[in-house]
Amino acid sequence: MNIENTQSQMRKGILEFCILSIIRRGEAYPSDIVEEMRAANLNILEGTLYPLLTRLKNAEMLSYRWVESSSGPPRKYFSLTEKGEKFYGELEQTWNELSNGVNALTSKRSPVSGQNPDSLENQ
Amino acid sequence: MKKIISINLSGRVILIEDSAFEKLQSYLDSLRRYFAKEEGRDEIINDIESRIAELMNDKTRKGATAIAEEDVEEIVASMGRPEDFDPVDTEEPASATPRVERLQGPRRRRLYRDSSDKILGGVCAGIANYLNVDPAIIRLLFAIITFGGFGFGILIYILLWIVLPAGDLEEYAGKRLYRNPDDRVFGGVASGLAAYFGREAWLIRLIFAAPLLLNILVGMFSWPFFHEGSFVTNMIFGSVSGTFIVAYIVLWIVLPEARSQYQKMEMRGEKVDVNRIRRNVREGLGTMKEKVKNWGEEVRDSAREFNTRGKAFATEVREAGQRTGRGLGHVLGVLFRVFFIFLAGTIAFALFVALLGLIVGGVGVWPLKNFLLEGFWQNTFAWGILLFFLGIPLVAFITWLIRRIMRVRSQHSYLGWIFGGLWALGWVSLALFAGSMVNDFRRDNSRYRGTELPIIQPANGKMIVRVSGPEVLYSGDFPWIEIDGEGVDITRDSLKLANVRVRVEQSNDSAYHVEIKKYSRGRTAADAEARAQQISFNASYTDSVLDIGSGIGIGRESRFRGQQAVVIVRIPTGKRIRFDESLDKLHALDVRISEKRRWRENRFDIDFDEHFNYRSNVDYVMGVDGVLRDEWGNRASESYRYRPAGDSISIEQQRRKVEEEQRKLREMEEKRKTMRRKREFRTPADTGKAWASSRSAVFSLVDSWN
Repeated sequence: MNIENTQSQMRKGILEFCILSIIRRGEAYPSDIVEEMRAANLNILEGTLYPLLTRLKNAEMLSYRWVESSSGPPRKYFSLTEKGEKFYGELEQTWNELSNGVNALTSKRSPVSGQNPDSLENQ
Repeated sequence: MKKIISINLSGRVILIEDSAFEKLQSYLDSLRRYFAKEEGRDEIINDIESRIAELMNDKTRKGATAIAEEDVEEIVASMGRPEDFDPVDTEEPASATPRVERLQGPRRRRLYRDSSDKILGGVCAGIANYLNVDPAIIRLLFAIITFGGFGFGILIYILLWIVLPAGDLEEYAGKRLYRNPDDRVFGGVASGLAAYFGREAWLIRLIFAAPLLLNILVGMFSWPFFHEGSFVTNMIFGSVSGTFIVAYIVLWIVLPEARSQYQKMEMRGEKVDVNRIRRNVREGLGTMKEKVKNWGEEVRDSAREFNTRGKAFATEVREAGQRTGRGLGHVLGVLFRVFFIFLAGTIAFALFVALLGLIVGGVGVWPLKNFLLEGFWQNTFAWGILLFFLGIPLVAFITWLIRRIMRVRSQHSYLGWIFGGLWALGWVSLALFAGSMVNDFRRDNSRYRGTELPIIQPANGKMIVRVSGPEVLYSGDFPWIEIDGEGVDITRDSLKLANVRVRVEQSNDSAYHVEIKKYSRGRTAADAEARAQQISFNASYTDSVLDIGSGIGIGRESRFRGQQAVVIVRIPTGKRIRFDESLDKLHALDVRISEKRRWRENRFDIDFDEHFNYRSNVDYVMGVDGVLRDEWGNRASESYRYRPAGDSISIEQQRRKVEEEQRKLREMEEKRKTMRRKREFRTPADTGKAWASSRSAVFSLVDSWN
């Protein structure tokens, strides 16, 4: 069992969710997203972020517009589409379920015997 | 000092240091490769590029004059390297590989021609795919079968080409042959091979080194016992170890070094994907490897550029071919390609055999050199010619061909420079060698007189000339040399030539005279005479029979400089002479340099034609005019049926006159030239001509030796 592999598996799922949540708050520029993620102690490389954004955009979850910038080429500012909004809603729901479940599970003092892991998803 | 260039990145003009630019490029390339299968690849790269442009713009605004290497490193660190990216992609593999999946099902094990990786018809790549080995190996094997089996391989190839269906096969992803730079004694060839075949490196090294070690061992043990025999065993082991050494060197040149992480994994046959690379990089291979890898990427980049250019050209050519009509044009095109590659291959193979022959033969014929080359410089030049002038083009061509087969793209332009430089060295050796050789043949000892053989005048007014000694035949001292024809025998210490000439002249008085003239050429007349004196040649006279030796012996010290023995028989008018049939044992050859009137144009002339035209066992009578005639009045130099129409001067005499004239002219010219040489320097064109002509001289000399 590779710890790195598991870690990246865990991160992988929530990455899109986090990014969408940042963009939902308002138009965002990729490096802003990176900054905010970093501030939240969720490090992400820009090299990881760009393909992710492109993929979400191609899936019509995101749209963007060009904004002239003073410090370089025009920037792409991303915002959520309606479809993205819906997608985010679903993700949020799943996340809440997951985090509640995981928190409840991990905060217990002693494991309850006989509990089926599958019940996590059925909750 | 650093070069600063300005680039346009996402519409921004950025000043950047040269080295930093290269770093940036290799980084972007690594990204391109990483995202190669991504759908929105270009967009992603564009986004990243414009972000980089923005960051660089920031740097410039903060006061940097140009982007330095450290800046690029910093930017790259913040963007992240491909191996550090989180593999977010979930649906990625499916998007890029539908065609592979099509073939990966139950039909996986069928034999196809690989239309995606082909040189001719993709047969080799198809077989390699089927056997799951490196296509380069199958190609090399096919080349060996083709050339070793006299074109047998090409027939199989064409057959398979016709029979096998084409398929777009998955690119070979297994082991590849590389040189291993991390574990090497010389070039890392052995450990690369070891990695490929999954053996220990020392084993492969042993295989490479064994013949050489054996050679040395055998040489050591057998030397005191069979001094002669050991030479043959040495030859055998020597040529085997030579082959291995050649093979090693060829592989060294041909095989690419596994520089990048990717290539190293290919070498070991590990499955290459980004996670693996990342893991390997993280497994403490550190920054040094990283740098090496960047370099490798650069190299690959330039190779790819070359590749695309080549491909564009090929497409053009193909399109031109297809315009004439798809069907016929294609067939013709294919046939032409087959023909061309077959031809090139055959030439390459022939050259390769020639090279091996040259090496083995060079060792064999080597004793001969002792009879030709004198002094340190001639030996050095001869080696130069052998190694650089002859060897280098062969090696270069074979290298080119094998690299073509192995699909190694031109990575090192310095290889060409090295080859070119060494070849130029070969030319220089050749010119110097030729010049030195020509000089050695420049003068002869004709102004020295021969020795008079004391004779008792033949009683019945008839002298018989005979050769009773055994004919000079090659005694087979060097079993690997085959000399066709007679008249030459060579041993380690002496060279025997049947280079004896009999000349008949009219005697000045009423007595027979026999003069033995040992003749040689040399750097100076004195030098020529010294060499001539070292010739061993015997003639004896008893009872009106002149018995001359069947050949001359030339010692190793005096070298071959066109030595010959001339037996001049002077016959008084009215007296007879008869030539025994044993005179057939003599084979005269002349080596001389004729100098043209203008410039210093020299020419080696080697005549095998025998001036000796007298028929054997016929009595000739010396006429008043100095011409020998048989009893029917036929002159020796004429054919049987021809009757002279009363001309007073014989052709023989005319010829001699002309020769005399020429000699005088030559001497005059010689004088004039020495005068002129004192007056002026030679012009370059002049020297060029001298070179060119001296080259042809050596060739004709070599021809004569063959």
